[in-house]
Amino acid sequence: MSEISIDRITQINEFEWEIPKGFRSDMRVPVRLFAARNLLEESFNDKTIQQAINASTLPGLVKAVMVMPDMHQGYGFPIGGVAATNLETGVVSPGGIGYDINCGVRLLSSRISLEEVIDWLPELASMINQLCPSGVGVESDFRLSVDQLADACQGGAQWAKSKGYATAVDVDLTEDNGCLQGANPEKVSQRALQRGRTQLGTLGAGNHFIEVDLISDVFDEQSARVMGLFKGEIAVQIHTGSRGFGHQICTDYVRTLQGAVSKYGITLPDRQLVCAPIRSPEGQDYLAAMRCAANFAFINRQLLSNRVRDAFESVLAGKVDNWQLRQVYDIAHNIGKFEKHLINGQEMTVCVHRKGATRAFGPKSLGVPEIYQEIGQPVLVPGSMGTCSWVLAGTETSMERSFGSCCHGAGRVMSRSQAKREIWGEDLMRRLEQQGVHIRAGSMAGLAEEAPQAYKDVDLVVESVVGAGIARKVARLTPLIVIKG
Amino acid sequence: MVTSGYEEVDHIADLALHVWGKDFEALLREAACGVYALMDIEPNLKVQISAAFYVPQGSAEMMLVDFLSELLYLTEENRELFTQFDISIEDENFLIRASGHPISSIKRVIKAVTYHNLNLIHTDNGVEATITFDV
Repeated sequence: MSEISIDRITQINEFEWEIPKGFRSDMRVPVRLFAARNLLEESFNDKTIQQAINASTLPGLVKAVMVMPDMHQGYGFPIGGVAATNLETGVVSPGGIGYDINCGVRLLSSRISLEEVIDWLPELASMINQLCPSGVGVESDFRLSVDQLADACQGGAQWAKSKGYATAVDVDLTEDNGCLQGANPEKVSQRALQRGRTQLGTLGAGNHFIEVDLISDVFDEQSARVMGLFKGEIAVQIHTGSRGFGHQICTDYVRTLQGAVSKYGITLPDRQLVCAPIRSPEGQDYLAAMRCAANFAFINRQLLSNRVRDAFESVLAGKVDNWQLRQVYDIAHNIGKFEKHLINGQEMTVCVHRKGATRAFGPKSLGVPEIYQEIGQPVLVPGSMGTCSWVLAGTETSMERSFGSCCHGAGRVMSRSQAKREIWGEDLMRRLEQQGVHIRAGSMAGLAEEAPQAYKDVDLVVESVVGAGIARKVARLTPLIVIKG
Repeated sequence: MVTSGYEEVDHIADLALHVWGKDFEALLREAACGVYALMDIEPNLKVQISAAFYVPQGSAEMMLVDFLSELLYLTEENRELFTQFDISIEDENFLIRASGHPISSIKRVIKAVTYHNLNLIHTDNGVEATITFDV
């Protein structure tokens, strides 16, 4: 590949850049990058740009591969990548969705003020930590038979509601109402089903977390009010995905589809971009299995929400007037979905891959809950512990410019091994506690890997998506409690 | 360079290992050691366990990914770590007879073994590969 530098990328405007289709001979579409110059320059320190160019070689892409400002190197696709393929001529790629299928974020709001809760934060942190299983290989006390799990992963949040684990509001305020249609557990291996049986209602480890936050700033009073977010009050974020169930499904299909690549004569620059034509039996089987994992993840975050609600009730009932938590929204940021978008002026259903990118549908879009129709879909952008998180809203422009997609977080800038070399988990925990952040972590080394210094400045990431017009600021959250596996 | 070994390679978001061995079987053994080291696993050395599993026929890269994926599965689901591997060929598949120990604790999660830029390279000293893991 020719050496690439920022000088060889076309600047469209302050926050938008393009690598033309002709930059490398195997590119089928351009690459469109949304980022301020300084964030884009950082991405040349790793293989992000090369991976975005690799993704642009997939068959059947309908428009440019988009990359969000929290971009960083992944495996196959870059993190922050969005790619849409034609249902008739295009492919679906497990590598463009990732192993943690429907990793995502749920936001709950409250009417609890900081003053009411501040003395109870240590107890609340311990109770959430006690009730929400977390850590490597930790199982849930919520166990299903294989048959029950098969039912659950077909119905997603609807199944949870039918069993009394979710309210109608929880379901309504979840992306796709918490259920991707077309999930078929017969396309899921027995091994994946066995792994999933004991993992619903678990947080996992790595970058997954539960945070209790203070709503520290509100930028759009009207949208925040509709979302139930008020300055000075408390909110909760839950970040996790489909656990070993999703990892196994992706592992199984990344292997199976290695054969499909040669069968269908597809040439790839990286084997992790493995894919199959959407209309092929292999592509259809993967989609059916992937949707099972997506639905599993919606239920997983629902069950964890219930545990967090139990913790709030246990610690705060009788001490504060109104301890209940209400769902704001639940979104996926590793997913592949069939969505309608305008392509060259014509409405078309395409398969949108989002790998470390969040759906950000604008006002009056199909699929946005009724109460958010006027303001656009809530977009949840968690920062790193010790720094802020953001609540944004989708815009009309995001529908035109980025397949209704936005950033999903801060994005890493420091490798895990470097973070472990340079940061002591115990020191970090002490410093965060001094800042008023109550930490409960299963591993000090794991905590060090997730230190704020290892991530980009999430405020700069948000300035880029707002500057590019693909999202609008609603509120900023500051952490009070961080639970990590 | 010693004939067999592994070293962690910097990766911005995930984990990667450079592994080398005098032959493919040695590479598999070193890769197993490397994965366990990345996961910071503490075994219960007082107890011995054994297991057997197949790695189906495929390219060397596929067999490497399948072998490590199986170890990850046994780590997470059965909480088993293996230190000795007897590798034989049965109907063109690898039959792995492994012995090791139950796991007392795992400090770091690895979700999966990827094919990202995975190429087995033959050198004068044997074979080597760089493997990227999703964490």
